[in-house]
Amino acid sequence: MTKIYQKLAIVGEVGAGKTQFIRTISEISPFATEAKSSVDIGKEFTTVGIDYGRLTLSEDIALGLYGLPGQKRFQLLWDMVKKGLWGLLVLVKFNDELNVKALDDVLDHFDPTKNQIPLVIGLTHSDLADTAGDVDLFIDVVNYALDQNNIHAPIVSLDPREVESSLMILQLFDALDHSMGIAMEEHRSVV
Amino acid sequence: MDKRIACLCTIKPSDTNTSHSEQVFSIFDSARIHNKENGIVGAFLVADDTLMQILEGESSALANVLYRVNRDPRIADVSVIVNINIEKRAFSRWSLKLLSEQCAPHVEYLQKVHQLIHEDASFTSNLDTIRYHKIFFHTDNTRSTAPLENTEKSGFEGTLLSMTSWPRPTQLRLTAELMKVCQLLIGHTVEYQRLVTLAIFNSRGELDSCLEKLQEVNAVSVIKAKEPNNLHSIETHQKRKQTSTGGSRFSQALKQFISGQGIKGGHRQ
Repeated sequence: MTKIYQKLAIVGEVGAGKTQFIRTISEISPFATEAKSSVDIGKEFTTVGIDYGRLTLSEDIALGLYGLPGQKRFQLLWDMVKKGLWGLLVLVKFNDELNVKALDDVLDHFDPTKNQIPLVIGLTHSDLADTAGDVDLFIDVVNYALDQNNIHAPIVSLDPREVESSLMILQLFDALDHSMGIAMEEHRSVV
Repeated sequence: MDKRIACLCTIKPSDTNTSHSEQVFSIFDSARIHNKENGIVGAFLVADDTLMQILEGESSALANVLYRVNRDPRIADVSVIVNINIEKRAFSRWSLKLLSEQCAPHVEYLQKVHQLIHEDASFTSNLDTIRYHKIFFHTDNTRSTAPLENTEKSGFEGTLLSMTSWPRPTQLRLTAELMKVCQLLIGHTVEYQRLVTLAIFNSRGELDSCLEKLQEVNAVSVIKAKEPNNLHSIETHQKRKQTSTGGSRFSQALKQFISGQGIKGGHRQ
């Protein structure tokens, strides 16, 4: 039987939880490319290359997990995994300032609408918000960036440390993939 | 006593290499920080180069905001069109909405805001009138959605369903089932019966349950179906590069894997 290998790209800013997400669900120890930070970014190590993890779903079916840094200067790495993606998970970290430009860069580069890539925005660290209103405001800003790129995508809260939360993301991608397939084949609708 | 003010202004083009969105965001960000510190709530509405801020808060705090806005070099032609005392605030938080013709997810929100301020609004120039219309009538507000008031459990029969934006995680926890429905409805109008025949759920009850959840948070628009001769084609995008058998095998394997993991929560070492 034909082997199937799908790729999920996980892109996000420093400290968004890319490596942790892969560490949580990968069956292998992630092939991590972390380096000691030269400036204070709130943690000792950060991703400077591709973090790789893998899930073997059956004898001949596997999912590759590719964690990519969110800064545009790493777009060479984005190009390496962009082709034939099963899904694109963009992690945004709740904090006082969303780097809209960096999010724009990622969305512009992967162009999920044109390339028909299921996209989910994973909101991490939302437990640090003082109030639900703060989270809502942050989501406004993320939606603003999505609007700018004419993209409709679900924003879901995610705790990359939790197996349940992380596997739920895969379920959501599967659901999106399924519905996108149906939508593509649908030729009739009532207006 | 609290006050409500609404002011219109024009966002100046940046004299550096900053893009329009960065310029908007930088104005928004300074307002966000200041308003949070001063207990001011309201809305920040942007349509192209026009900005409308609706603010609710203590009188002295709002006066301070107006002073800041007038001195902000990134914006011009500031004009206050609403300035009233209020007994109760209509906004519970501070929010940002970008309005454009291509993307109209904020129609309902805009209608509410328009209702809130239009009786108190006074315009001193044509520019104000133009900018006001740009904000509130920029998107396609004229769509008649004729929502059904009492859609009971099987009341979706004979209706058309559509969505303009995804529900927020703070409104509704997205499940795989909800996501399937949302993906089909976002940007499309689909007949309820069509959703039934697609058999994406085990039963009609599950589909109805999902739709009810979406309806509760006003995420889905439910309207009465037109006659069948009004059927139109969805413009399909380019075909996905995926063989259906391959996609289906992968999906089945993934489902089996996840159920085998027995999602129960907890950390993985």
